[in-house]
Amino acid sequence: MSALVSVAAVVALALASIGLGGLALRGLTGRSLVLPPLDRWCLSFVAGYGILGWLLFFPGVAGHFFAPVFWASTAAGIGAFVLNRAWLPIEPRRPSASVLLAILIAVVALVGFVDLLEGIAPPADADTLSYQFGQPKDFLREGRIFFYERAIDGTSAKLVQMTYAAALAMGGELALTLWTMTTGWATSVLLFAALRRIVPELWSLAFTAAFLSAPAVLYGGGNGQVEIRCAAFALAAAMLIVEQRRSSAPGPIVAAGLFAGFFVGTKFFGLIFAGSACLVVLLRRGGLPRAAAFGCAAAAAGFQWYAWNFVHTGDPIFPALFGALGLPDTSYWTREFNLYSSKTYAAGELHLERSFLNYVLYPALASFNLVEKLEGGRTGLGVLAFVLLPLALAGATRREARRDEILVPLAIAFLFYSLWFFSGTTQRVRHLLPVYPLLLAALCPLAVEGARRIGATRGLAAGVGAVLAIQTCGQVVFGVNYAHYAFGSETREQFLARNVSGAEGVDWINRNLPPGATVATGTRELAYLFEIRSYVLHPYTQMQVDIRPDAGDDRRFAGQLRAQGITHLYATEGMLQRGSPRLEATPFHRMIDRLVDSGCIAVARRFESRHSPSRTLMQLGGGFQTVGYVLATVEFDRCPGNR
Amino acid sequence: MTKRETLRAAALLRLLSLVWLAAVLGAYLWSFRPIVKTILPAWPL
Repeated sequence: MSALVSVAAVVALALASIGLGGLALRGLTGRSLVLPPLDRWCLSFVAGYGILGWLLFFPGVAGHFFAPVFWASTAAGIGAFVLNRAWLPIEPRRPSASVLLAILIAVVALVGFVDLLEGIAPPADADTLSYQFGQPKDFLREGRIFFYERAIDGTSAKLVQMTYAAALAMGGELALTLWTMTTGWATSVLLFAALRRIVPELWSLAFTAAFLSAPAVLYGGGNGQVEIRCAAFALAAAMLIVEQRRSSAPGPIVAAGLFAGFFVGTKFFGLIFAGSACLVVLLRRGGLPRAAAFGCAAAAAGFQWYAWNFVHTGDPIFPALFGALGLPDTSYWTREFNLYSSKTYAAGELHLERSFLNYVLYPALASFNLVEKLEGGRTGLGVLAFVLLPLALAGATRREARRDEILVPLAIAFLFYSLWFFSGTTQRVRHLLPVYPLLLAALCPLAVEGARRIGATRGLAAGVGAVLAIQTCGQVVFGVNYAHYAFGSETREQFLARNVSGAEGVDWINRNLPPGATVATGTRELAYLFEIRSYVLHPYTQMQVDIRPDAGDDRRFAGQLRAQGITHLYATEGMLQRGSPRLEATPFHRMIDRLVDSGCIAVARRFESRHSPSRTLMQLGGGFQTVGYVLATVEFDRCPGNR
Repeated sequence: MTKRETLRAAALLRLLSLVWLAAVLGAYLWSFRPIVKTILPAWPL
């Protein structure tokens, strides 16, 4: 697909989003609220891609998940944009020129340039390839949304990912990566719009630039990770909860509920957000009816993927409630496996005891990378909030500081953090990104006020400037990998081989295996790269092909491969090759050795690949290992049970 | 509070804010030590 079609698809999706979102917001708030032009454009866009994701679920489950459906939906959205154009005026204000403004614009432009470089490069992030992009691609291949019999990533909510499918079908991979870049940027523009309501424009731009260049935004903004997009939903919901005080009509609170619902529909943590926001609405004046309206709207916008899970498993947030609901064993999940899965998940994701002390210390432990497994270095939120804290406290002592624009987002962010921390779910800090703009929306105005009060405005500027300088350096380092691709002569395959361990073999497989083949792989991030049907072997999110270390029954394993229609295996030498060095010889490895000896698993080809803990640092001289990959055929006539 | 006391309190708060800022930025930069060591193995810290 040509680059022109890709760009046209992204422009069409963006216009359709603004059209659909604008029409909905106008209908809900048009008579009761007067929103500034920039707020209208941003809120419309964010609402619009939520609506688009919501709408596309239905043709998907009905088996009409094709490009013509996406183009038709987009055309309807563009029609809405044309109809609603009068509600979307152009910003009349022009900021006055200054050196500081020029510097800030230069920083934002640099960040934008690096994001664009990432936007035109193929996707390389593991989670993105594994399921954020991988599953929409599978849905498109099948022409329908089907139920993934795989826990955690397979049964996650996927509202925003429906728009990924649309971008991929309409404009190919380039449209997909440009679309994620565009939706990622929308959050920052919305934060700017929210901040400048109560903070001078220059400060708003500085804080927005610091958010835009924060490691978590840098990491997740341009790929398929959904936290940055959930942040837009969260911020939009908070803005409209604040706005509802100006109106007795239910429109603004219903709109806020829709935004919260889009977050619910995109990520399970949206449930925590919707609960936190609903509680804040309930505790305000006229609370109960408004909280009811908010809750109903959130449920309507966010129910789809929970209903989908419930229909297929009986557990709306499968497998979190599987044990608690006492659900019966199925072919893809059992009580015994559920116990194993939850224990293994906890060992990999819960690194801090859920104590009050850790609850208080967590922000510092994560931000200063004191517990590396929280991933506060590469994908953290940065230290802007810490820089702002003392001045924000100084600003908070004034009575005027206790206004809705500050209290509402702060209360929601605080409740979300508290519930999230004690819920026993993953403790990686990037999962707090959705409420980070809410924290900034509260801290930034307080810090500006505090600095003004004690005469430390220059100190605040120096602090924010230092944060920007550090983060911009990180942005440049991050961009080197993508500049290599954009300005060099590298092909897509060469870029992927450099960035995704095992990609070389997938390229060969795509070119040489017949379309009817099914390849099972133990490397989940390869899922998106396969052009033929693939199956991800995971030790604790699926049990249809049991690869737990203790699984050692040859006959059962061969039967499971056959049941899944698996014709080939593609995995590291450590997993598949007889006699290769392994960390430990588990019953599973001994079983593989026996199956290789018997000819059931026949090694057909070997590939060499690179593996590094950091793609970015690999470009700058950081170390990498050479990893051997093996493609093997499954010779069922030589497998146990067939002889 | 007299005007003099107010000014003194504001100066103290400014000083504390600057100390805080230096500590936060210093600790943040220090947290990148493993990354710097990866790029520059000869880095002394």
